[in-house]
Amino acid sequence: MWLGLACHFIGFDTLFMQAWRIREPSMWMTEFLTGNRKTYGMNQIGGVSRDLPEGYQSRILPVIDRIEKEVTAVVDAILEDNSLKLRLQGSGVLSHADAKAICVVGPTARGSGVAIDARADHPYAAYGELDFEVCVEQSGDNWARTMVRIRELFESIKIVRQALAKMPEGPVMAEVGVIEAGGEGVSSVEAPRGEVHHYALTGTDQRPYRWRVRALSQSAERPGDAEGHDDRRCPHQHRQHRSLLLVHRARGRD
Amino acid sequence: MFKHAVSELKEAILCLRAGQVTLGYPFEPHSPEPGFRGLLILDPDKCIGCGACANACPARLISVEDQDGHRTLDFVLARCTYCARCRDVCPQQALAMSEQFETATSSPEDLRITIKLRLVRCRECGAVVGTQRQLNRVLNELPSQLGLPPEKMDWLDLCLSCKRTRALREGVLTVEVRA
Repeated sequence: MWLGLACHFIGFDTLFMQAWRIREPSMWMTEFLTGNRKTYGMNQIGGVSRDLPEGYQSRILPVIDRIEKEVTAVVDAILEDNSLKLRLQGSGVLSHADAKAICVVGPTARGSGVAIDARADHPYAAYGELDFEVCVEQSGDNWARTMVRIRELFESIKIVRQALAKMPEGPVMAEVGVIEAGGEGVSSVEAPRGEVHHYALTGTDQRPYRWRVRALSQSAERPGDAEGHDDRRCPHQHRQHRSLLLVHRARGRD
Repeated sequence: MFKHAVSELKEAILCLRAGQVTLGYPFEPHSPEPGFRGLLILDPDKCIGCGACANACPARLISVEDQDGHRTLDFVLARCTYCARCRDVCPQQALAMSEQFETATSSPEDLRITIKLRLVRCRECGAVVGTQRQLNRVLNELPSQLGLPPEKMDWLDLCLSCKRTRALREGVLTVEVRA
């Protein structure tokens, strides 16, 4: 979807339409797996609300095989497209140093040669048992970010195949019991466009008292910060920037 | 230049090979996958008004109100996220997710379910005990589970506090008081 929309915004509607055509079977698949195209409503405290339907392997595998084949064909077709290259190569350059300084995350960071990926850096869920590559490009322009997203698409297909092969049997929900008030939890997961941080503070009555989501765009949408790091301009942003720096430091990166 | 021409040719072939991919919907019916969660439906004959759904609903769209001898459950489905938690917790299986996904409407009342059930108040203090249907369910199930004759269940229309008072007074329940 990202690839399709990006192409739409740069006026390349051919690929926009093709990307959305290829994406559609995956939407049908999520409807088959979760009961809805977008609002899965699956995650609950303790697990997920429903198990995979009967015969899911035989339905998912042909779909991802087809997606892989079609994406390969599209990528093969567009890589030598001059108009696309002129539009993407050398434009919107974010240098490696700037990317580190303003703490961008996800494919934006990886397009500038910063190899961060929450799935690999501190594996959650089953990512520790799966073998995948953190896709990094060095040039930092729009082309690099596009390449990162394209390569990640193939990595995702690889991840799905491995997950299907290693899928364990067993219950889908764990017994949670009473959740005490005043408990805190922080998590960091890799969303398609970068890291998302969630913070929760539990209250009485088994309900959350406070819940804060720090979306990935907050670290990506800060032009101007890159030049000179003028902290007086926006002290609030500076604080966020510091907090993320601390997260990175805690991970043993600079 | 040659590479660019090849690339454009490949793009053209891709588009032509794809052909028509749009579906006939809405001129043809489109049935969702089994297990699809569409618009919520309530079976008014099964609902006992216990409010388990209101407790489970993450969107807080089910309100329970006791007034004038009736308990009213109000579902404002315009806010529904289709998670089906209410259906999963309903002890009566009164709630179901239909296959209906065409919910666009100009009238908010189309996305609303209201059910009104008769309320039972404590015969001694007047506090709310529950709905008549909740009591009926207890009356149907408890005697066989406990091995009690139904006529012995005369404490059913007492609230929790009055039940305790009576149990203590009649010596059914003894409380050990430690010094």
